[in-house]
Amino acid sequence: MTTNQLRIMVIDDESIVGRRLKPALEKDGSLVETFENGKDALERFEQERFHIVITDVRMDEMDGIEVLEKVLAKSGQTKVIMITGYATVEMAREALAKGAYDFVAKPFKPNDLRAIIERAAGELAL
Amino acid sequence: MWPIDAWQGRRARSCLEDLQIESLRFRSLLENSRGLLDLFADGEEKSRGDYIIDMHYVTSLVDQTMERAGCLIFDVCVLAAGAGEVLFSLLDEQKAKADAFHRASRDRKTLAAVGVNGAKNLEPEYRLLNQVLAWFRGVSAECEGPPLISLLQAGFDQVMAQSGFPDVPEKCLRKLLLSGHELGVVFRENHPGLAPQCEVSLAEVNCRPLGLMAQGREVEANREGPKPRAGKWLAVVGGDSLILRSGNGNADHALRVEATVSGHVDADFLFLYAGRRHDLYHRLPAELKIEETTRGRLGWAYDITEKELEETLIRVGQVVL
Repeated sequence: MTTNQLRIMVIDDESIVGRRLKPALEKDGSLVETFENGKDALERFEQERFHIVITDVRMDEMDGIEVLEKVLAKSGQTKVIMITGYATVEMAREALAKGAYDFVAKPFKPNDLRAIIERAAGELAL
Repeated sequence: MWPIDAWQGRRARSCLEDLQIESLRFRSLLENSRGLLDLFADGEEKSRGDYIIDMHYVTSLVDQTMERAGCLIFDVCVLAAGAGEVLFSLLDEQKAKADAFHRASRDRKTLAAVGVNGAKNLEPEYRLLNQVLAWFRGVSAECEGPPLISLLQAGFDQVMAQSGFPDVPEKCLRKLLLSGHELGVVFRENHPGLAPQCEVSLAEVNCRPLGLMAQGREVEANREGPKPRAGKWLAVVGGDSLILRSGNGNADHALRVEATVSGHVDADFLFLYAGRRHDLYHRLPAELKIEETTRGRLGWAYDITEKELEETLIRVGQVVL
């Protein structure tokens, strides 16, 4: 991760999330790549590291908790933000205990997420 | 198994207990109605495009509204005996529509291909949400059959048509003369010092919402205008709370006022129902959330300050007393 441009990965099996988030986050100058499953996302992560990974929790093939664990195993600096439509205290506790940076519940406004990203980016000291 | 003695030992419920049970059920009906309308409002807010939604949001919105609608119909059936058959049939009709939305949510290609009201650029999730919103309120030609809101409307019509005046024993009743009306008064708390059937003053009644309405009547009494409608009146009063009913046996003339003015935001509320031939029908305060039914109009307010509630009750009193 040598560039100052913030690299963000969005993973959600609901394609609308990536379609809507990509332009919203790119407005801030970030580089955004979107994926509809954890497997493809992790393959891409092998090739190139991302500063921030935003992942849905409930996905069919690989859930967000597994994505979180694998991303952090590869890159402890990466900030992982969880998004979910089924937010529960237990889920939030588990994700945070496993190292998630923060989480946001669907439906959400891009600005809600942007605030979390800005905070995370501040801690990355790019 | 219950021992027979336990049943034999049960006393009949007092009229006050009956009224309190009915009042609690009516509050539940209001809560469920409010919950249903809040879900409509949430869907409308999310449809404006500021939020990122997914298909799960849309289908869970449908599920939540159906759950609320089921609770609402249950409340109505408790309050209005005999309403069940018609209302559960209407509910089944709505459930079929809800199922159709679930099927549509799984068929994204069709959703993506079919434009709604010319909105062909909408994504499938927003397209389906718009269809669901049209079903809620029946505001578009796209919604076939009665919309979901018709359940709420039919429910209130049933309750207002059938919840006449309870048979209150004389020992529970006092009389209050207010601006030429004779109100039958039932105290929520026992008043051993007041003999049954005796006439009581507004000060003795000591009910804040009724006092505010009476203030409004005093203002109105100094003006020229149509005389308030005559009819039978019943007020169930507590210090902060009031249930006021008036009518002549015809739902079109029915009036119901439920209010709590305590200064506690969570407890305070106002509900009004006016039959379509009642003077209040056209004069429901604009700050209330208003819904039309086939026989009348509902108006209610929950998120309202104490001062606003006081002013609203004064204005309601101008019209109804």
